[in-house]
Amino acid sequence: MTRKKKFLLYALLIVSSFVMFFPILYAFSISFMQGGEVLRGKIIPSGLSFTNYEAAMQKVPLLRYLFNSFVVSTLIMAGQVVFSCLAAFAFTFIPFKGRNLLFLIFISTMMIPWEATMVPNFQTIRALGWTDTYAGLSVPFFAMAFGTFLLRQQFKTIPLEMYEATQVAGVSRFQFLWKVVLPVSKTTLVTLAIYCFLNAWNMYLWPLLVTNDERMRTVQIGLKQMQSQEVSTEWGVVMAGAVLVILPTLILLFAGQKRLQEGLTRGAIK
Amino acid sequence: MIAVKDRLRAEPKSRWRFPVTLEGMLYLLPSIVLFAVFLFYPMFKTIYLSLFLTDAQGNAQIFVGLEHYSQLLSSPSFRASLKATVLFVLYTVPAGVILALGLALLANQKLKGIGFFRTLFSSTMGMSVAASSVIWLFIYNPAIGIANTIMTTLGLQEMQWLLNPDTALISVAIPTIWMNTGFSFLILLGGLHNIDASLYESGKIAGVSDFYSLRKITLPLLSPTLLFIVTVSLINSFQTFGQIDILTKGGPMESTNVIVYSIFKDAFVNFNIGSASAQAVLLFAFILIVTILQFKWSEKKVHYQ
Amino acid sequence: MKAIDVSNLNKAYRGEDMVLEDVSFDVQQGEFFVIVGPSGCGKSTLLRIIAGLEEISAGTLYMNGEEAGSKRPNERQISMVFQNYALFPHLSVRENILFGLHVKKIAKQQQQERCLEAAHLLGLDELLDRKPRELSGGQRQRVALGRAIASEAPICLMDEPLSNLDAKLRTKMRAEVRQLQRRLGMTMVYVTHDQVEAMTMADRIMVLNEGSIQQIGRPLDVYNYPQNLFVATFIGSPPMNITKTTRKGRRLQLTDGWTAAAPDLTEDVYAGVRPEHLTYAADAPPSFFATVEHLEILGTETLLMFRMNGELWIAKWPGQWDFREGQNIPLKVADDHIHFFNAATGERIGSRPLPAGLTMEAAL
Repeated sequence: MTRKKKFLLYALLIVSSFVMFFPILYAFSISFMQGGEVLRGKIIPSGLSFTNYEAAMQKVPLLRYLFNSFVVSTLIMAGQVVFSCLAAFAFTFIPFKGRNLLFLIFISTMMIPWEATMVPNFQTIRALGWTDTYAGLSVPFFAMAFGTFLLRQQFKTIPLEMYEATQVAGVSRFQFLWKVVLPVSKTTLVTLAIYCFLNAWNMYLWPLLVTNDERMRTVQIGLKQMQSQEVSTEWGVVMAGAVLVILPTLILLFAGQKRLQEGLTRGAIK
Repeated sequence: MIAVKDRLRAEPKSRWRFPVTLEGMLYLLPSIVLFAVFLFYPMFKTIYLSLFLTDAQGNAQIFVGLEHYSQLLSSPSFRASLKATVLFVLYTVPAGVILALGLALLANQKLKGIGFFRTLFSSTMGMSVAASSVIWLFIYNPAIGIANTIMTTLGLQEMQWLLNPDTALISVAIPTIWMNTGFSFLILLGGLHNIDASLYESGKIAGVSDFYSLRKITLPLLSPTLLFIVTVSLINSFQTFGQIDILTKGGPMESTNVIVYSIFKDAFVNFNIGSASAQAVLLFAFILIVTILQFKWSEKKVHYQ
Repeated sequence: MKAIDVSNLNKAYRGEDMVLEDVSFDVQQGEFFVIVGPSGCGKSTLLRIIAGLEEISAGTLYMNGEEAGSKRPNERQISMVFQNYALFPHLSVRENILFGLHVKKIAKQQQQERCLEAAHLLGLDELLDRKPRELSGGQRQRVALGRAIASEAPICLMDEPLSNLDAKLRTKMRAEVRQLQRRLGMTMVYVTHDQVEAMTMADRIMVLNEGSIQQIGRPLDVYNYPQNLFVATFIGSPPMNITKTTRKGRRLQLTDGWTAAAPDLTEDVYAGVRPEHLTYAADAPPSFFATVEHLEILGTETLLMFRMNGELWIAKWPGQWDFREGQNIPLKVADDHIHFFNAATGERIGSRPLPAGLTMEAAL
């Protein structure tokens, strides 16, 4: 690679990453500003003050929201990973009749837009008495076609001989799943888990529908509420709230970045 | 992508063995039950409700046949909503995929510190709709947001962004592209990683230009990944909700009232559930047709390794 | 006693051609039995049927005197070594060797003893806590063997276990596997496409082609008296030279001036000669003259190639011979080193009876 080309590449990288990351930096920056600074349209805060964060915590029960989001996201993640594992295992290692047809049906569910089902789903949750509960927020999402598909792609890379070796040894099919398939597929499982968690954490419409109780709101809805109440006056506080909302996922994303990249690719490609 | 081939052959029957079909079903049961309750049943229920007038609770009252559909198709408001949806898809999908592809190609270079840039490029994957929208709402603020600061520094006119019906949809599209880039970028980067390096080396030996090898090696081999990303982006774009709710609430003058937002408003604000259901059915049909067309069209263009 | 007894076995997949057709053979207890054939001949399928990984379409399978066709793999008292070893990447060598023993309800103490014993036999003592990816190909192979040994199953099935190793290691492991089998007294069914492995390791060989048995016998008997053209050209390297003959009265002519006594038969006949039986006629009257087309001097032996009625023939002589290409040289073949085959059926003509007392059952 020539020097000139290298220089050009770095310049491009720096400019584009700055543009991509700027809105996030901007939010951080605003979150440290006092009211006057914000209104003057400044970009860099004059000092590091956490008063906006304190105010954000006081205005709405942000900690409670964060906790709710954490519980709901963890539940959804666990449910999706477990259910996808079981289904993908059946689709890979159990040769039952009609398997291919069933798999096709599973995959085609990806095409049903979730919004097309939300009204009846809302009615179901209400009928079950699950509004304002963790169950109502999480259970409808446990089955996941994409997760099943991704894991099936991974499971298919496990040599059939491993399965046969366990058969010769007399190990049951469930134990094969538990003792061989899952440990071998660790990378993909972690990927899927991160992916599920991020998506669940960022869920917006469904929590908006099924939570009325202040104490059951997730952090996304809390943020929206805060924004619509405070918008004209307290931008710094709203941004502090936004930063608190994105911090957990950004950290998770940066930590799991490498795995996520490896694992997601495996499923996306044949 | 969904061609299924039997890897396992029929196993010897055994005297005491648990029937294989039953065992398979046992593993699938949790997913099947949930799909049935929260996907198939509501899908049919939606179709059913779209044929009725309902009360505010969503109970079917009077059968009206296809009246909701004919009303919708002749209503200027729904047509505007369709137009907004289609325009929104056109604004976001091609631009988003091309941007992500560009970034992925850039980040696929072997340079020192490239990991840092990759992390920054993928960062929007961790951004929630609510947080992103709140941030962009401020960026677009006509008086104090940075969007207009940039415009004036560049010597351009200040704009009303979200408040002007002519620019509102594009102004929502930009943050949407930005939010989706992280995920698309990660997937495309992974796809690039999977292309055998020796292919490029043989290209180098043959002395072809970078652009030629991009066109003749990279893009054809990346086509399955691209197809995946385009499909996911399409489906996501059709289902945009959060940005609209926070940034514009469907306005101004319904210029950003995309179908999903319209469904939400009809169902949960106006309590016109029959009409909302009809719109949902149309959305489903729309997505189905677009996806099928896209797969048909790409069948010839996608090269599986 | 028969460890495995297969009779009239057929195997066909749904709607496809027969993979195995009317296969009958038996394996004696303690015998090293090699199934050899080209890829796609059905040898792996046969092994998997014995293992219980695939179903029988027709016929019977007895193992240790009991009907076994409907038994599960783990009820058949077998161990199996796969071509790719099927080692579990997330388990250590120790755990890999012990895999499955807990199901057999064997005491912890005894499990450890077996593991150490197997590891010691294979020289794996130092590697017990490593993961498979930290091992070389040969070491992985040994771990796979260790698993078979630790299971203490009386019958061991191996599916091309050495084919992923390099040539040098393969030679070494050949001897090792053979010695282990003798020492532990297991019954071995060993599948390979490599006729050298078959020749060097087996007590008895079964040659399989296109789903049916071509010949069963001791390696040397198969080599010396191939039952048909397929076996003749498959076993031996370089393979047996074959040519069509023309009838000249009561004799068969192989080429100009070279005739042999004709067997009592009216059909067309192919003649075959092993490369090592084509000798240089220094003093004796030559059978025929050959024009050297190409020469390969390997150090310990020399391969000389020439055309015989358009076919490429190879002569193999010990030592180093220096001819020029194009040179005309006299060659001699003893009459009893010529094999005859029926051109229509490929079957051997005038099969020589096996020397008495050399069938396998008697030898054991």
